[in-house]
Amino acid sequence: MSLNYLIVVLLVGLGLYCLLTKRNLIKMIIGLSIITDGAHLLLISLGYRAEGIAPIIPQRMMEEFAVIAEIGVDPLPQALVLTSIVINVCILALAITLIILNFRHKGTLDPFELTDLKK
Amino acid sequence: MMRDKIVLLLVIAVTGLLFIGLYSDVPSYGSFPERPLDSEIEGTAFNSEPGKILNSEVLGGSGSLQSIGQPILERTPQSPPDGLGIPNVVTGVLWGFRAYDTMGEATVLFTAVVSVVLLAGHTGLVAPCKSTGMSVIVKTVGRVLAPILMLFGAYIIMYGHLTPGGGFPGGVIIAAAMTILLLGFGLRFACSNVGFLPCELGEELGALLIIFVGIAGLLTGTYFFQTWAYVGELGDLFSSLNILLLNIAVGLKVFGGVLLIVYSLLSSFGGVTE
Repeated sequence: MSLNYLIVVLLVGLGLYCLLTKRNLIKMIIGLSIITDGAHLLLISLGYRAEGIAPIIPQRMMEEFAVIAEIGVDPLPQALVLTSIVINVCILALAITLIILNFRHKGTLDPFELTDLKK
Repeated sequence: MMRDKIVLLLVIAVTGLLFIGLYSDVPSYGSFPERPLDSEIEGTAFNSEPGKILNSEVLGGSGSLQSIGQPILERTPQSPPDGLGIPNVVTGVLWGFRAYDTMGEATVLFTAVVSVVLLAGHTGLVAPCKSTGMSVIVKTVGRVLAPILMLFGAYIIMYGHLTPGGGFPGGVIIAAAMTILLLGFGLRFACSNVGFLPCELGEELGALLIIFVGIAGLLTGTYFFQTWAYVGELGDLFSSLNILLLNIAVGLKVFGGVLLIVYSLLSSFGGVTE
């Protein structure tokens, strides 16, 4: 087991702890984004190849570009993570908007005060 | 309360243990799983009918995760019927092999921006904003830094198919340059330069350009997002115009979208930036 995989466990655990224990919506969003970072690190680590180069053909290798298949890291998880980062930004923006609106209407950031559906 | 904490710690410990148990199925860090060449097996991702891909033994038939990155690394730099003719393989996956998916991602961004603007945006609140920005240091640094950052963002977009980068990072960098101006000079100054309307125009023109490139592939060829534009020499700036156009489109879109989110969130506080 490598350090990267251990850090993934640590990040997801910390994010989960933050999400479950904090009673502040903004801090919960921070926890959510830490969990997402853990998932990104896991995906990127899966595609790593020992002593590999980035999956982009450098200028000096333009002539014999087939070499890239021997030394490049896996490009697929990287493209997937790029997608995931953009989606994460969308989620953060929407969640923060909802938190701002909630704060303006009810004056609180405590998720335990959001009990309107119970009434 | 104490009992709650213990339960929580148990939940997190179990999650961590599940993760560590999962790692026995995952290739060890740094290894690139060995796989046979495409030509030696039938039913691989590239030389079979689409429906057969999931049944192929290459994609995890043995129960462990295996890489399909290698055929993509081999194919992307080749010229169009086989590949895309660009050196940046990640951009190739993003706008070539998985262009549908990236269009869906752009749609998610569009939906999020529309929701944020609908929920929080009050264009009328910008006018009474009294903020005149921050100190002279921030203003001077912002005045010098913002044009350079915008140029850098444009470079990242234009060279997206050759070097690391592309439409998403480049658009965010240009929006960050505008945000530096916004922080230095206040919301009114930023809105008088790049207002709500240009941002929305950028967002929507970008989305339309992506759809246009997709449909042009359908009209001139056989499938959506087929390479139809000029494909020059591998490594030239104006090569593979298809992907260059898509990068520019998504750069416009991300620039407009991120700036709209920033404007809307700020104006929902009545334009107070401090």
